[in-house]
Amino acid sequence: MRKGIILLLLLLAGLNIQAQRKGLSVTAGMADYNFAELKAYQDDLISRVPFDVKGFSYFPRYSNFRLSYFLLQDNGLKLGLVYAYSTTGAHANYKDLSGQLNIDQFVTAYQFGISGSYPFIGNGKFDLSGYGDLRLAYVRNQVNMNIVTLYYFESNTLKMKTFSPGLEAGLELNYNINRISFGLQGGYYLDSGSSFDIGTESLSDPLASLKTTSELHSQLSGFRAGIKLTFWLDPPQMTIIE
Amino acid sequence: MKALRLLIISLFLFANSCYYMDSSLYEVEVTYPEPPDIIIRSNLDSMDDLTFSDSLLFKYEVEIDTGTFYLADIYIDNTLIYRSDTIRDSIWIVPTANAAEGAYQLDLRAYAKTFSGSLADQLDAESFFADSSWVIILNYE
Repeated sequence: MRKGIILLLLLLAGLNIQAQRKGLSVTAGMADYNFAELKAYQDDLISRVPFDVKGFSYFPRYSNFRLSYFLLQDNGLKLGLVYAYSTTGAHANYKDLSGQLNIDQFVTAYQFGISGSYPFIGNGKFDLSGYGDLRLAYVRNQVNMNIVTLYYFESNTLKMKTFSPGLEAGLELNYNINRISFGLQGGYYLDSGSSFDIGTESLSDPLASLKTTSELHSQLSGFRAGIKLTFWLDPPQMTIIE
Repeated sequence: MKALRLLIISLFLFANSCYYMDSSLYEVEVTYPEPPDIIIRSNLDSMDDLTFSDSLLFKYEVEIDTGTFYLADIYIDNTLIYRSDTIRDSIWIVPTANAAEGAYQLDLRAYAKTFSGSLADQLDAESFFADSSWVIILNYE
């Protein structure tokens, strides 16, 4: 899949772009994730400590932002660059009078790539478009196990990161008002699932090790949905009557 | 255009500060058992006069019914002067060169495992303690 994405990127890079108008769109919303391996890893971490630790969240739907700078073609096709940011995590806790223990994972993904969209239906005011992104994600996961009591403190961290290409495809509904458009956007992101490059633990002799027992993959795949705002950067064309 | 630039910059900053957070707590109630019987014995118990001029031998022995002793701290006027991890130990108390004459409080605090099952207990970082005090008198004459 990775080879196919790179080939597609190269093909798109060779397109001769003749833009009429340019714009910037911002989408803020939610994303959900697969992360099956990271969920299993979180359960494994919970089982390693000799306490009745409760797992609260396992990579739930969380904030997702997408920023796109695009050029509008004569035929209605928009092509541009895209940046997306998403974050989620997992949390487990045990607390009693003497102190508390937390097991957390924080995943952040910074994605850069190219995007394109094309209106299927539209009358100027409204349009329904299909869009697609090809993005390269830098995915970072920070795993923390913290124990805090009055006389004992332990903070162990393990970092893992990877670069993973993926693509997103979906639909967007836009309402256009002069230089601004409002819209709704929803799609599915398919991650190629690169394996994480796993670092070393910050503590040499922790209560419970954070070491992984198997290879972990990024698995960012999931649905994305959000509210979209588009700014047209060029003034609308005017006719001068003498 | 200026406002748009500001919006883009603030969006970048906002997006990156929007970090996943969950601070849910799973609170477990721990029932603390009755403190164990901790008996502290010392050679000073049998001495009628605790006045000394140059040195004083202090011996102690700690007996705990649960049998799990952590450590004993010896204080003079609330200043820690010695820590021991054995149930039986002895030290010589020697006044410093400029120590003033008078009465000093000698404390021994013995720490034992609670067996409460709490987080700190399982990490050996929680204890019950018992203490014993003696008044010792420094007199150079």
